[in-house]
Amino acid sequence: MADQDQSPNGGEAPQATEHLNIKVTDNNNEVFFKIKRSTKLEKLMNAFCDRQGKDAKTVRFLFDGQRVTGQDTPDSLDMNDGDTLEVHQEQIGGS
Amino acid sequence: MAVIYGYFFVSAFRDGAFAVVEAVAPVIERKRERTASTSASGQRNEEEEDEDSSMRPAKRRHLDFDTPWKDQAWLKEHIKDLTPTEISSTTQIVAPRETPVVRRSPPKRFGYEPRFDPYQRSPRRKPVQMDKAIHLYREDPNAMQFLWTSDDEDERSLSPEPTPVKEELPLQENNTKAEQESIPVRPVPPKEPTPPPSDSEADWDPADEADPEEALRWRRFLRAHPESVDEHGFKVPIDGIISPETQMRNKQHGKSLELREAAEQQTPSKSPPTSVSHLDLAQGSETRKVEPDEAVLSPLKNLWNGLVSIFSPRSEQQQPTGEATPAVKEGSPMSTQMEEISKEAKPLPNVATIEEDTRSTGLASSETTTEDETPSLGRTTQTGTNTDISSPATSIKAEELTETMPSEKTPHPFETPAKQLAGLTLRDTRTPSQPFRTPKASIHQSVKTDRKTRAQELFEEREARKDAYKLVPLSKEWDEKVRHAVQQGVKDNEGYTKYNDTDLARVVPQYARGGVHDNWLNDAVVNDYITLCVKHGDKDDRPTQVPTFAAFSSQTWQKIQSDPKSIPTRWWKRQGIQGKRALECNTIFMPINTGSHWTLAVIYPKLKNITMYNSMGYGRNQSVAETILKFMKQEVGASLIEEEWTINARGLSPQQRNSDDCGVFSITTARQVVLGKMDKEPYTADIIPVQRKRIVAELVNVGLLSTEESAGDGAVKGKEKQ
Repeated sequence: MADQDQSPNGGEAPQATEHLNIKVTDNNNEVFFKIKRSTKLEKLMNAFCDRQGKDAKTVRFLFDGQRVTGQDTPDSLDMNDGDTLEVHQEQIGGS
Repeated sequence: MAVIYGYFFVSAFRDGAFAVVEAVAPVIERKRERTASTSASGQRNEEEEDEDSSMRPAKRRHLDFDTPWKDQAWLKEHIKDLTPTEISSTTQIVAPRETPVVRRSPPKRFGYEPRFDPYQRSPRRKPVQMDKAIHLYREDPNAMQFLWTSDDEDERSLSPEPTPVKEELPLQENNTKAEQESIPVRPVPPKEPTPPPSDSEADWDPADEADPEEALRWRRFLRAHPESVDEHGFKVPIDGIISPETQMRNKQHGKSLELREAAEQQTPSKSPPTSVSHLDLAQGSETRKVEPDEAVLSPLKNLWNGLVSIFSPRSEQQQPTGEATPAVKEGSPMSTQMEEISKEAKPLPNVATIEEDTRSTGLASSETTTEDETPSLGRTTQTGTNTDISSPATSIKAEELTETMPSEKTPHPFETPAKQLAGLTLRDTRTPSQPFRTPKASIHQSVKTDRKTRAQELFEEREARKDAYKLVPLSKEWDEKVRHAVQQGVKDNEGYTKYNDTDLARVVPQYARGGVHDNWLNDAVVNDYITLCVKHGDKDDRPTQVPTFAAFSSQTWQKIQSDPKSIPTRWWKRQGIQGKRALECNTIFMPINTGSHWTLAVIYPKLKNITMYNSMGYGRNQSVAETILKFMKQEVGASLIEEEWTINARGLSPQQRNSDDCGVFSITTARQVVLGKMDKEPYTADIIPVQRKRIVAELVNVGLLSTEESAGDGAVKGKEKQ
């Protein structure tokens, strides 16, 4: 699946209206997803966590510095093709 | 042609009510008389001119005092119905013409527009102080010119012609000849008619009297002893015996005297009444009868009634004392009768009724006295000689007294107020006759000072709103919500998880399920809470405006730390502060997590300042701030001059007492900065347990909780504890 997602066709122009290529990356890994504009990003986030073996509760997905919640869609975030979702680990501080 | 108009302003006070009564005197047209008598053709031209002038609108005419005292005699004739008190205390003399009219412009102050003053007297009718006027007139009577105006031509033509005055009025006895010469005009009304002996004896026939001998003897005696009659024509009591008639008269007359004195006291005039009275102008019996204005008349009537009610009992008490006491002692039944009679006689009916009352009572009393007092009178006559004073005084009959009753001939005007008032022309000169003019519009002065600008109103509203968000303990209702949120997590409307239970359990661990949890805050709570505060601060912003508050997420610092240039402009653009707009932002928050510690960096682009709020120690803050400044410079570009910026590495943050609360301190600091309370009244570490619950509550609420919303009963309890 990942290979299929990562090998989009070169002609993205006709697909730009419907499908987006989103790069999801933490500092180590980069995963590309091809999703619809109306797809909720929860699906993407869960897929990434499953693939990387991370707890969804301890992972933050950021888009342009702001946290992405499960109900956001590329439309609501005004995402373009090739945009990047950053994955950060939970930060804890107390002392 | 001399058209003369007299204006009287008679005023009276009672309980603040103020009325000005204006009496219009009749018009004298002497010229008309003259022209009627002289029909010479040579004076035609003058007559025509005069007619023309009479057709002209009102002009000021002057009473010519140089002419032989025609006018003044006329004045005296018509002034007699006014008491000296009324004239002296309440009459305003209109200004002499020669007095230069001083138009005083109102004081000019900056920022004030002179307004229309309804009580500002017109210069034409400027009143003169009474004392000044008297002084002027005493100095030089000829120089005193009264101002006569007639504004209305119809008024002039309507007013009746005066009756020609035949003889001057008698002067008061008190005045010496020198005074009379120095003050030629003394139109003092005769209060009472002169006593019988001063009357011309040609008219009097002793045969008309019932007892001609007695009457003749009385006349002779009075001529010899004028002092035996008082100023009112009443017998002066002799040997402590007073006849009941006189007693009753004195009672009745005493009331009017008292009333007059009371009126004088009520309207104090510094000048003596005798000197005042002769100055004033006519108010004749021929005044045009205009229906008096009720609004003006009623306070006068009230005043009158009040005076009557006040002074009548005192006069009853005072009267029988002194001279009358022996008589009262002698015949107690008689005296009681007299008192009853005097009570029945009302003090203030019209003239006719007064006369009737006095006559009837006088007659009735005479009958009683003749029967009762004869023995006592007999004693006195027996003891005294014929020329003795007491004998004629006591033996005079009641019928003679009633004939010589003073009030029959000239009823005193003060005793008949209603009639007197009906004869007056009433006009309220205090209130402006013309409709009240609105002051000239001055948009740029008063309005500007009074009105708040919209920005000012908004500012005050915001200031008031800031005070409404205090860190008060939560109410029970909110406490339950917090407990539920901590145990179940928070989901949004569509069912997606907003905060996990693990996120919120860190904030309020005592409410979490399954024992003790870690109480260090994670980035989810920190970022969201700061975003919450920022949204609260940006509530009043316009859509196109650079937001007042902005916040970067805590992950930003991680990226800056490694590479300040790693943050693309899009991150800024999401906040609406890309490029130079960042410099127009008021406050930018950046929570900083350094492994295990939360601090808060606050950028004040307008102040060109970066302040670090650290709840525990001050290490590393300087380098962090410098890195953030580089980050700013990278975004803003050349507009940001780093040398101008200052770094406050030690922001005045409250210090934590444990090793768990730094996250709470950081976001609470952000909250207080948004509310503008950080400098003035910073929170303390004591409030942290409360604030932990409030954080959850406000996250659930998706907005800051005001004092009223959150508190309820809890706030009251919290205040009581404090």
